[in-house]
Amino acid sequence: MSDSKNEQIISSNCRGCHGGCGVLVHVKDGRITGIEGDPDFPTNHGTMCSRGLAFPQLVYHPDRLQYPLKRAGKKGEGKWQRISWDEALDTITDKLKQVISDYGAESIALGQGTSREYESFLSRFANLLGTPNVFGAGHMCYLTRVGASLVTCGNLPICDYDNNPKCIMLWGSNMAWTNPDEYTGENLCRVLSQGAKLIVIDPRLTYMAGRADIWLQLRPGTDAALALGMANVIISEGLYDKAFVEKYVHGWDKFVERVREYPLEKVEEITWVPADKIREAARLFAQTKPAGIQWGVAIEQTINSIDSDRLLIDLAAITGNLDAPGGNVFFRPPKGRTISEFTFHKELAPEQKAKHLGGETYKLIRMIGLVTPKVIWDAILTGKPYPIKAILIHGSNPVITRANAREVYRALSQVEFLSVADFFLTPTAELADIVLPAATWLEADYTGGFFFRHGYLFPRRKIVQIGECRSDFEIFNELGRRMGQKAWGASVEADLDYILEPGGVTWAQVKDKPYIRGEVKFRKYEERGFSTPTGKFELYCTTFEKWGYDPLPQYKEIPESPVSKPEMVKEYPYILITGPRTPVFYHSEYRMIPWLREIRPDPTVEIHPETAEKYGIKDGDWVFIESPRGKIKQRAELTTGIDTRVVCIEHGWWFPERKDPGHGWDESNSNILTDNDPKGYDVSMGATNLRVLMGKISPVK
Amino acid sequence: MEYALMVNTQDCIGCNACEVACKQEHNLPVGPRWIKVYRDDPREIEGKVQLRYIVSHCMHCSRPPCKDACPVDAITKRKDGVVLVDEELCIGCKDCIEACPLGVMQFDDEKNVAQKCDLCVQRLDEGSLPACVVACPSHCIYYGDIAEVTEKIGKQRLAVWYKGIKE
Repeated sequence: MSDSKNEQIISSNCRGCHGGCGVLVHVKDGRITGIEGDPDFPTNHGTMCSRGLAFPQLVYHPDRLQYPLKRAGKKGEGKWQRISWDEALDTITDKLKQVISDYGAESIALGQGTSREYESFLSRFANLLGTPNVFGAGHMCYLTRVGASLVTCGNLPICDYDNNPKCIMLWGSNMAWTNPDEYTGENLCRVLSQGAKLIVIDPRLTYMAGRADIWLQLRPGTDAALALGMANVIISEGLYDKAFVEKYVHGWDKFVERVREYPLEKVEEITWVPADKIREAARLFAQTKPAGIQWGVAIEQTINSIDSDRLLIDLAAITGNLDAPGGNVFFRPPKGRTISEFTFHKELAPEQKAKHLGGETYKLIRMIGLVTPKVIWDAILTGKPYPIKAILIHGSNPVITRANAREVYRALSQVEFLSVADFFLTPTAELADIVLPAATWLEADYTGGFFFRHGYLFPRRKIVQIGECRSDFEIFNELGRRMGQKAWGASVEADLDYILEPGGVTWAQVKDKPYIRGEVKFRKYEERGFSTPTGKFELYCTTFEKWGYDPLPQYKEIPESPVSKPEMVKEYPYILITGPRTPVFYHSEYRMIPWLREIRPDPTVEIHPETAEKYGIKDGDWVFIESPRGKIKQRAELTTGIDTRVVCIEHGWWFPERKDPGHGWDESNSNILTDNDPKGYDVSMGATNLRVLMGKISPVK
Repeated sequence: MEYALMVNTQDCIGCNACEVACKQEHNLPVGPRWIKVYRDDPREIEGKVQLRYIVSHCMHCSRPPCKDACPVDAITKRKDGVVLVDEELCIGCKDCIEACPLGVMQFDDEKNVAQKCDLCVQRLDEGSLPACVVACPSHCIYYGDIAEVTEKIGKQRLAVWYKGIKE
């Protein structure tokens, strides 16, 4: 990498996943020769993960989309014709205009994915277009915790690794391997090496579970019950912060009453976790100050999504860790426009907002400006309540990553018009009418991280141009202007200036700074209370009361489990869990990156050796995994780190090396097995149950 | 003084960042893995079941068996302890692969040469740390004077490390 003296080193910010690591990009003769961590950067201190380090192999990948394509054969046939950007953008805008005049703007849906940070631009385009129908992963991912915290305490509290947390409760997250929004695994490693106590809640033995002072190996999907049990211990043993509760909490008595419905004996029965261990963990968390809670999407991808989120925020609050240094903190971004201002969230006309698909049922997700995806598939396939005629998908591969993949595939094959912007011809892009070549984070300027909750701005710089690739920002700016949307600037730079304007700076002025941090201040509620209807931290949620949901968090049994469906156990004896993180892939991405695929060549399913033995399955064997929805195969990895009753399947698998247009989309894809029946949804968010289902295994003969 | 690279496996999270940092630094193809992370089976350590990773790489032995095995003297040990393979001299006989007790000698099929961790000599000579050391998110790869590194990691942990390799 460092073999040249005339090399240029440009600092930027990685978006190979969600961590936002500061990087130094080595460039020679206009070509990226290497990427390394920036030692002076506050989020990663010079370290990097495998994805960021391998990113140049993505940028220069021979299969990378480099110019716009239009479909030249039947849908999904894999025949393409190269076209100009003008033709591509004109085709899209002509179609959108036709749909608006024939059906109304609501018949256009926009799909987003892995948060390459264009979501603000996408939502802005949708709002100005007049459609409330934006779908993505947010219904069962990051936006669930944003939504849960909005109605509970006004904003999402972030675990503060910078101020010496003495205890971390890592819940449904393998943060050693993943960098979710606002966080990097390096921070967790750092505070643990400084001696912080660790509590891990996970059905699988991960490195962190093994290292933990206390590991609670729970029955998958029962997180909310476990949290209620811990709250019970904290309250009945008087371990809560009485001063905080007295002054800043709404609904204490009702919350206590609800918590009393979960005595530890009952919680043990629900969760499989011994009562003594729950008590021990609750005491350690409540008695070690400061303590932070770090959680992951595993708890959000079930029927208990929002209640699980609320309960964890509740635990932080009642133990006095909210907005306290080293606890869970409301960081403030540098001055600038809010996401709601930038996206013109309030400009969407009330009559259009009223057409939000599923909005009357799932009111929290409507408030956030997203829909749960199944309403889109239904509208395409049944035309009800009105048809969806055109979809623009950016940086997302729903055929692989959304529940009930066969339905997704059917819907996207049938929709009248589909445009997909991405780096590669994914199984989803293969179904499109127009494919747009998207730029990566190394190929576009952007105010990185600004709309997240860590309080940083990470300027990201355009370093190279690949083919005719354009950033998603530029695509929306272009499409918006072609659709006559007045808000867009003459260029993306003008849009970035608009974001920064309230701070009195322009993009040109911040572009070369390594990072900018907003004002860091703790316990802001002491002056201003919380941004909720009562001005207090709402253990009893008045917004939910108004909307007709249970204002208090509860535990609901997973609709497809040995407890709720004992009659299924004979045919489908195992609890299947999906979506364990790998250290090299990012959801459905990166299977085409040689250095990463070498490390994990095949999809793997974790099975306990005793379970495997019953079927004669040996380590490394291919195994069929079957649910009532379908059957896939993955390679067995035998481990005693999982319960004998549980089988764990990797998600995100397709095979880019296969040149047929399906790329093996239904062969090892965990979402062939998952269900998207609304009976399994979270009531307010429409979160799909991706994580816990029932199934069986058999060896591939 | 002799330099050493050692991994404190107690802190290793098994994230493979070292592997890709090494690939990038040496521009390696798929195949040779100069540093490689293996998942150990869950086992009881210090009273609790743990999941650990084993990281294999050249230990730059004091008396390298690979050097002794090489029929064309392509393997040398520098004064600072770094053991190097000269790809120009290597005839691809794989005797060194047989000889290495740790199984860390790699082979590049395209070039038909033996390869292994060179401790990032080019970086060392420029005064920077090996690429894997810098990238490691859990800061568990130690580089430096062999006495200091051994002291830092502790003999007990080294014993665990070797035990892991032999298993």
